[in-house]
Amino acid sequence: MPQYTLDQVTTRLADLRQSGERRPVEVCQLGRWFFLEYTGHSSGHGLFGGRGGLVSAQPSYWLITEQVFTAALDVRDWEFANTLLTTLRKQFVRSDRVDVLAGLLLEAQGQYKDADLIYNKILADNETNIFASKRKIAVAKAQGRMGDATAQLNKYLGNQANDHEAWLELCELYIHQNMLEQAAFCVEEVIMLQPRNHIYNQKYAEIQYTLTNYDIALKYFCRAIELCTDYLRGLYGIKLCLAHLRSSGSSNTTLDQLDLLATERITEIYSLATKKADAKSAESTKQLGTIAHEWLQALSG
Amino acid sequence: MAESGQQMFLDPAIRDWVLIPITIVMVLVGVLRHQMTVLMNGKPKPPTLAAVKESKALMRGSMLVRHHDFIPYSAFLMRKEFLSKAFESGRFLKNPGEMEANGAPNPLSDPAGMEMMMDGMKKNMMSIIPQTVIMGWINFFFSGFVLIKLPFPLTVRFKSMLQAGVLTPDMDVAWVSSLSWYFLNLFGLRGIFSLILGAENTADGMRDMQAMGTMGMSGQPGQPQNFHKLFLAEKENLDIANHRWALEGIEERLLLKYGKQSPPTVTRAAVPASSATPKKTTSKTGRKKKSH
Repeated sequence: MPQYTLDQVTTRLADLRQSGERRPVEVCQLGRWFFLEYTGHSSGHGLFGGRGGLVSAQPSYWLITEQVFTAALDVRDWEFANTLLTTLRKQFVRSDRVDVLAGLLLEAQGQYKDADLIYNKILADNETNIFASKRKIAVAKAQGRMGDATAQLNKYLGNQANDHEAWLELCELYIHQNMLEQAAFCVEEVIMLQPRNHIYNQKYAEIQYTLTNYDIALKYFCRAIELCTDYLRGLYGIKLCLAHLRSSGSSNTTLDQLDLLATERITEIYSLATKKADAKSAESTKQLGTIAHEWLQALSG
Repeated sequence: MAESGQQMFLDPAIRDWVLIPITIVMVLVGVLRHQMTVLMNGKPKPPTLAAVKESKALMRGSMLVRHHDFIPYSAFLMRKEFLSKAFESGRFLKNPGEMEANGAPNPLSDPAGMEMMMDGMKKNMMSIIPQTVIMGWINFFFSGFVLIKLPFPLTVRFKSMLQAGVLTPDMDVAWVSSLSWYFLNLFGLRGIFSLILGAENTADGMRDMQAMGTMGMSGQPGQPQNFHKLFLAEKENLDIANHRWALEGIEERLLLKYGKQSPPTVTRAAVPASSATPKKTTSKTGRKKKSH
């Protein structure tokens, strides 16, 4: 195991918590090290001991425990997860948050019915518990009850109308059920909540493209590129939209110029990437460039 | 000041039986008070689902007013119709009875409001009672005591701060009386409390003073708002919202960004956006007439 300092570990874990990046293996490893250093046990029970001393001196101690717990679920280390859950339970005897974590463990092990029971119990006490409502939806989705999940999520969004992650999730559910109009509605909500996120604009454009509203799609592809210079996926979108628009007969100088611009940028991006690529990835990058070039030729030809 | 003229010696028993005990008692009371507050606060009662829905719906309305430019006109119109109607009919209201009520609703009618008032009172009691008791204790037993001499000279203006309760005009200002020692502790123990109890403690007396200071300014904090009024105001905002699609002329803007086109075409692109406005205003007034 590599050598860390306590500061490095806590900072790294805090960074991962902040960014939401999912690196379960790393988190588990850091977590084991942290608990060993802090409490003298690799699973973090006992409030005193180790070099760190009092647990309360480390304000993020319980946050780290929670974080490592979810990471342990990700790597399917039930034993580790169970001990962590026990320490959390000991510290927070009646906590909804720990209840949700217990439900997560059951979910991870595939016992959806029991997990659902736990969430129902939490919601009976506190109907506004966001985590429990979301987990219930996730359970429905995991069990393949798409319609049920959609209905529950709709109800949830009726109450919590500004939860953009929930809107995105609902969008995914609708896309799974081929209800693209509804999916577009969801992304519109998301765009209103975060208008300067190019990925959401791109998503909206792609849904509109699939709905064959090529003019709207084109505008949102352009918007995505405006917000994020040289956004490759948006450039491809422009090419595809223009191909459709042209086959339906509409064409003017602006669109022609746009077409030229997209072709130029796509070629440019690949040639830049080839220049920058190191020896290992040079070959594959070059191949990608060739494929893109051929595709562009086929589209215009 | 006659430094050499004043020769005063304090009994060491004063240090052992007055100075140190007062400090210890104040620390202990602070810790006790922190624990009591934690105990009494318990878990904050979660708002009901209807209350959440109410405020979130309002936020959704204001979000539509602010960011509607980023979605297509048809999408905006659909939302506007829906939200205006819902806001007007009081569909999102926590208690629909609010629609008839005039002015601010009575806080006593809402159990959550009642609880909030009780909470404020409890907190006030928690801060006032222990401080009164300690001050009474010091006043009763140690009034007129001189406890400590500060190791540095001070100007006469500090006399009222350091020698409260001792009415001797000629004594050097560096001497501190018992009541003043209490006040120094009251305001100076914050650092020690944050060491013992962590940064988010409630043992500190200063915090209450600050809270009392701001209370008058912020208007009644516990006063519940009349959401129906807020919804109607938001509906008004929606009605006058002027949809100007942010993506109008985006193709030209993009070409401009990459330097493929010269600027003048941008002004041309702005024309269709403004020509769309008169049509909308007529439809708005039409709907307004209906609602009245």
